[in-house]
Amino acid sequence: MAKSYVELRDAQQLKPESSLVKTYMIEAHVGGTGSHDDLMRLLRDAVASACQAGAKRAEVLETDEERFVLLDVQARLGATRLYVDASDARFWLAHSMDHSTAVDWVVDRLTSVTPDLDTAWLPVALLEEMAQKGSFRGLGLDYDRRPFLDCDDDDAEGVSYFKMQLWGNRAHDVLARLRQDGAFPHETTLAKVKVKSWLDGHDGAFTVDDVKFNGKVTARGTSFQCHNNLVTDLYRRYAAMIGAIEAVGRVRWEYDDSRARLRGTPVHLHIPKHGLDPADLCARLFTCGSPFRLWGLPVPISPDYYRVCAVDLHVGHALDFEVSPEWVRVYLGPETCGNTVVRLLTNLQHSLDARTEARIHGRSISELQPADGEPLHRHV
Amino acid sequence: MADPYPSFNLQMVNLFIGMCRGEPSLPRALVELGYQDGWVEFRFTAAAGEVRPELIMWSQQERHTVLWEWKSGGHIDLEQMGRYAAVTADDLRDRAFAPSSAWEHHDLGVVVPERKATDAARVLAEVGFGFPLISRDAAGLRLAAHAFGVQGLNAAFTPSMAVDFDRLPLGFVPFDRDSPDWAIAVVEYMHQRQPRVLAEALAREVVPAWNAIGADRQSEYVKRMASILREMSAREFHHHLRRASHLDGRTHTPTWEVTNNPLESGTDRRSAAFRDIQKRAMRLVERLRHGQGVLPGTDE
Repeated sequence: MAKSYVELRDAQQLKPESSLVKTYMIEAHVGGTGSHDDLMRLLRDAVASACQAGAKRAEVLETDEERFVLLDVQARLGATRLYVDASDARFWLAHSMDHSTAVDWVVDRLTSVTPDLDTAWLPVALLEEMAQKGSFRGLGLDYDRRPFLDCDDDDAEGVSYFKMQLWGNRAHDVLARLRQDGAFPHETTLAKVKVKSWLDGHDGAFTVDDVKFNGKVTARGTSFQCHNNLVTDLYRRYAAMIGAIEAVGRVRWEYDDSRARLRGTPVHLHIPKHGLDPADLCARLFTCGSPFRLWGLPVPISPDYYRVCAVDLHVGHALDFEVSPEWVRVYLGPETCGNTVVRLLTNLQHSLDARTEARIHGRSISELQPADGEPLHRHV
Repeated sequence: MADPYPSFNLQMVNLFIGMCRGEPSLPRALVELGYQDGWVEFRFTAAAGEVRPELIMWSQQERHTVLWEWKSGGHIDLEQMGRYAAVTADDLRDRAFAPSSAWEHHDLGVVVPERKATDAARVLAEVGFGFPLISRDAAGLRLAAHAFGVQGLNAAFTPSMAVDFDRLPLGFVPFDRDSPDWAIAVVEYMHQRQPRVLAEALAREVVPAWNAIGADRQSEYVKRMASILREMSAREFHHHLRRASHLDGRTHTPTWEVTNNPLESGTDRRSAAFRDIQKRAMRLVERLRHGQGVLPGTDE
C-alpha cells in the first residue's frame, strides 16, 4: 500500500502491476443460523451464479479463521482475490489489492445476481459524515435523471445530468456553493468523498480514502490500519443506521396473549422536487430491475395518490408504499431489510432530487441513534 | 361485489392509528392530547357480555380511553350497544388492560358515513345511549351527536376535523376481508423459493393481528385465501401455480405447488420474468376489484 502511494505521488500514475487497497461493504442475508457453514453455502451459491454471469472460474477458500474466507475469481478482466471478513454475518467487508475494473466487475456480479447479497448504499448525509472524519480533500458528484426521463426527452426546465470530480482542499466550499438556491441544490448529489486521515500518534501514517456511495472505499497512503479505522467507522455507522431503521420502521404486530398491538412506524421519503405524477413515478420505481429492485403493484387511491404492495427483490420480503407528488411513505414488513430504504433513498438522490430525505418520527434516518437499532455483531 | 377499495372500515382504522402516531399530513389533535393506539380488534367480556371494538385508543394525559366502532352501513346494533353501555372502568383496567389512569374515563365512539349519521343519531337517542357519534363526510370527521367525556376530544371534532381522505395512510392495517390485493404475498413466497403455497400459512402471514382475531375469523380468511389462490391458479397464474389437493391431508390446508418460479430463470431473464408476473397480478387485481371471480368462501 505504501509502495503504491509513493509511486502515485512521484509519478502521478501507478505501474501496471500495482494497484490500491480497496474495501467493499457488502450486505448479506446468510440464512439458516448464520453459521460459518451457512456463510460458505451462500458464497458457493454466489460464485456459481457469478460463473453463470460470465466469470470463467471462481472458488471459495476457507482459512484457519471462521468467517474469514478467500474468494478467487478468474474473469475476462483478470484474476482477482477478495479477502472476505464476514465476522458480522450481515455486513461483510471484502478487501482486495487487485485492479478496480476486475474487482468491481466481480462485486457487481456477486451482488446483482445473488438475491441474498447487495452492496451497501450510502446516502448523501452518511457520506458527509464520513467527510468529517478527517480532512475533506475532494468529492465526486453524480446526478443522472435519465432513468426518469423518456428517451431523448431533455428536461427543459432543469438539469438532466450533472457529474463532477474535484480534488483539493476547497471541496467543502464548492459543495456549499453548488447547493445554494439559484445554483444546483436539487442536482448536487454527493457520490464520493475523499478524506485524508492520520493514525493517532504515528507521524506520517495516513491514508487518503475515497468513500463511494456504493460502499466501496479505495485507499492511498502509508497505513492500512488508518484505512481500516475509517472502514470500521463507516461499518459502525451504516450497521447502526440499518439496525435503527429496522427497529423503528418495521411495521409489525406484537401480541400479548390474545391482544394485538401494532408496532413500528413508516419511513417518509420527502422528495422536494421530482416533477412526476405518482403514476409515472410508480412506473419508474417498480420495474423489477436495477437499481431499485422492486416488484410492485400500484393501485390508485385517488388521482395523485397510489398505494403499492411490493416485494423487495433483494431478499424477497414484502413492503408497502404510498406515493404522492411530494413524498413516498414506506411500510417495511416484519422482516424487510432496512437496506431497501437506503437503496431507494440513495437512488432517488442520484436520479431525482439530491435533497431527498428519509425520516422516521420527523427525524432523519442518519440522526437515529445506534441505541435505536440493534447491537453490532462485529468485534470492533 | 366487494366494497370499493379502501373500504370505510379500512380507512377508519388506518386514519385513527395514523393520527395517534402523528403521521405527517394527518390532523395532530389526537397525538397532542396524548392518545395512543392500543389494541386492534381485541375482544373482552364485560358485565353484559363480550365486546370487540375495532380499535382501543387511550391517553394517560387525558385519563381517557375510547373504544371505537366503525359502522359503514350505519346500522346500530342495539344489543351490541347495550354490551358497550355496561363496560366499566374496572373492565377497562382488568380485562382490556388499559394503562394506568387511562381507564378512569371512557367512551364508545361510533363513526358512520355522513349519509347514515341522522338515522344513527336517532336510533341512539331513542334508546338512550349517549355514545358520541362521529360523522365522516368528504371533508373530515365531525361530532354529530352527544359528546366525549373529555373536552379536548370534543373540541377536536367540532365543528369538524379536516381530513384529506384522498391521501390516507393505508399500510398500518393493509388488508381486510374485501381487499383484492393480498394475493401479492404469493410473489413473496416465490421469491423465497417456497415450493408450495399453503392457504393457511399465507393467510397467517398477511391478515392483520392474526393471533388475536379468533378461530372463526381465521377460518373465514383461510377460505378467502383459498378462493383467491384458486382464481389465480385457474387464470392469470396457471403457468405458475397448480392446485395440489393430494397434499392437503399432509398440510391440513388447501395447498398449491409453485410450478414456475421467476427466480429459476437465468439471471439475464429474471427481471423480465418478474415483470411478467407483475402484469398478471395487475390483471388479477383489476378483475377482483371489479368483483369478477372470487367465490365467497369454500374451497372445492
